[in-house]
Amino acid sequence: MQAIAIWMANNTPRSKSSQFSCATLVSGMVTWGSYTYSSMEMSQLRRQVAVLRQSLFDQGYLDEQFVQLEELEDNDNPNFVEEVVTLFFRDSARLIVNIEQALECSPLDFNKLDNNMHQFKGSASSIGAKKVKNESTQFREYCRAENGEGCKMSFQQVKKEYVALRKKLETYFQLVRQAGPEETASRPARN
Amino acid sequence: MEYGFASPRADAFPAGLRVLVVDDDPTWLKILEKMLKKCSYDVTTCGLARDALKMLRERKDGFDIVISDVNMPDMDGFKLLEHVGLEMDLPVIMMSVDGETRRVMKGVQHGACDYLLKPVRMKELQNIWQHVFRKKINEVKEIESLEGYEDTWIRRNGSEGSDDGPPSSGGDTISVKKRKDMENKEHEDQELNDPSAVKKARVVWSVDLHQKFVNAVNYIGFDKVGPKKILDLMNVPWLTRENVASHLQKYRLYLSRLQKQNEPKVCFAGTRQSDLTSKDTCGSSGLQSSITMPQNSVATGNYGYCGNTVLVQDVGPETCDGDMKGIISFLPVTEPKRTLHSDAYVPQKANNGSRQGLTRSCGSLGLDANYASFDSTIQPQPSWSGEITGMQFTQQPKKEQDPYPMSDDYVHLPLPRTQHNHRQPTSSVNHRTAIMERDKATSAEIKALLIGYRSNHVKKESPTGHTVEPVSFQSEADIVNPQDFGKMSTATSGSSQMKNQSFSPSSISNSEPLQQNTIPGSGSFLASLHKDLEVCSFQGYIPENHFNNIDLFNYDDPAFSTNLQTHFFEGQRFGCDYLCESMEYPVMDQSLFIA
Repeated sequence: MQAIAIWMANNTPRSKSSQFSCATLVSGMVTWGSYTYSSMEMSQLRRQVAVLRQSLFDQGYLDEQFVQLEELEDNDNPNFVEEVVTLFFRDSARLIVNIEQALECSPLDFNKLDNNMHQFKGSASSIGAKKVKNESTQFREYCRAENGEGCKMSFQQVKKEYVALRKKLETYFQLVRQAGPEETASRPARN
Repeated sequence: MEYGFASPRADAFPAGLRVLVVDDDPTWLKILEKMLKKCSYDVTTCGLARDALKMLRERKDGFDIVISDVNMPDMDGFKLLEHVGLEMDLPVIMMSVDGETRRVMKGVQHGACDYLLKPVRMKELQNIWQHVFRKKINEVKEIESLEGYEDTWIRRNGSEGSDDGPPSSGGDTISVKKRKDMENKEHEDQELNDPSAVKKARVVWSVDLHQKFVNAVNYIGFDKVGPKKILDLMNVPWLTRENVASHLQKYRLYLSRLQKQNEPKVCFAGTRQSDLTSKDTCGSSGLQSSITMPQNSVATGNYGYCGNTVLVQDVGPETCDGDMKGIISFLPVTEPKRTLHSDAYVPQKANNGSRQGLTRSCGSLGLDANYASFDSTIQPQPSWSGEITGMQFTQQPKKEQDPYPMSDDYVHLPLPRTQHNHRQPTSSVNHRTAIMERDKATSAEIKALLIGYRSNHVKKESPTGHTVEPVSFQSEADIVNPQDFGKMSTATSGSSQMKNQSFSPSSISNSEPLQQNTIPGSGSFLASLHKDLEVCSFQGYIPENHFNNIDLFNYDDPAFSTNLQTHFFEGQRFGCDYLCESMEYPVMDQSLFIA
């Protein structure tokens, strides 16, 4: 579906007026041509995206790895960032479950916990999930200290940040989609 | 160079660089793929280390560089690194989210050309072509050296040779090497052959090349391997004996390292002990090979050989070492051990030595084809303990005559065969102490017999040619040879007990291949002949055991014949493995990952 929208966006000559011909995903349906954003609406949407994005950095959810991903986005992979983020959350869910199970074991296998968390941390680093990564580091320190309580406590933090990031990013990408594929061409300023 | 870097767009280098990315994390795999594509590299991704290795083996020469994660569930990234470094000799970049010095160091020790920290940046990836380029430069140097600059080049770098020994070999190797260097000072023109100097001449060991190498090693048998033999079997014109020697050394160390990972604290004392034990019980103990392997690195067990073979291999070069008094060694052996070995084995060596003289003279006269096939004839023999010392001895006299330090390439010495033959007993006598006299006499006797045997051997052997398959040629050549030889040995044993004693090893050793060929060949009369042979060799041996007070080798052990049987089958299996190359991969695969 998205692909169609992108294809259309890429293959439609644009008018130079303030009116945009634009393909947008609205509640799972492709709307084409029947609605055109005004330039004000467009810039508003974009500003929203930019603000939200900036807040993710300012609040420490993301680091510059996320920018790296954005830079990788091109015509071949116009939704690269979203694809990668989706992949991360899908794959890391498995790791979270693994760690959860490992934490229920008694006695705790700190080596296994550390390995799992190492994997999770590596994965989190791929999308620049800064807070999640930091919490993972904390967790691993507890693992090395063989502090079971610390591990459990720390894991709650990891999960908290993980869930929080997922929500934030879901919102963000929704907005990005609304702003349309144009977004890629006029990405707001990065820090 | 035919095996070197071959980017499809060499003019656009580094564009088109073929990169294999291995990471169990799909997210990273996706990101890295994209990054590398942006660098105009040709990217292949792989989520499992095993698959990666398989791919690398299947698509020989299909990649220029490998980027691998350190932590992977199916296989340690370091292990993959070693395999790649050794089998394909590709540059490998490790990456991990962990920047711990210890781990980075481990990566470098295992041969990583770079260690990237996650999150990996595109800038870093853009630059990876330099590692490929560096290899290429080394290749060019290699070509130069092959074209005749080798001498000066190696000389220039020779002094560094002992510094770049593989990390796990420990200080011992280095000190041994240095000592060797000192001893070699007087032979200035032989310096070229010093393995530590040789190490500098680098060859890119592509998958193909390494496979040839492994095939050659397997074909010859680990116990017999020498750089020259391997080189000849590999039949790669530009390769030098030194290249092979260096690779062989690397290979052995690598195998030992694989083992060591399971037993992190292998001390020399412990290994020494186990070595001796394994020698004592050689014929029957396959289990001990696991102890012996770590030190000596000839871990053939990994390649599907039988345990006994492994023992032989380990023991062989070592004792040889001892005899050589540290002129050269493949292996980190300590001095006390050597003496111990030599002392304990002198009498046996004496006897087996004469047999080896036989083997050798036969080998040398027949040149390539002959030697190759004859080697395989001996191949099954290592399973039997008596042969081990024989083997060791094979190399020993060689050491004395031959200035080349890398040992058992005697076959290709440009010596006329008679001279060779003549020398052998002489040198063996030099090494003897108590049994010297008697041995000298017998070796002379044997020499006479050799001529008969040799002519037989040559006659049968020559039509089999160079690329004879191990099984078929054996049945062609050896079934007949031992027959004749058997008669000879019977005659000898009949005539004199003394002669018999020293001669029996030869008869046994020949009876064994005979037996092996007999069973598949279904010649029942041969089987009975073999029995005769066995009997006669036993006759020779039992008194000897008492005589020399050596019960290290229980020749009269009832298990002996069983062993032979076992080893026959193992030998057969090996032969099959070798013949069907396709089978070799699974075998390798399995065994390589065991460690």
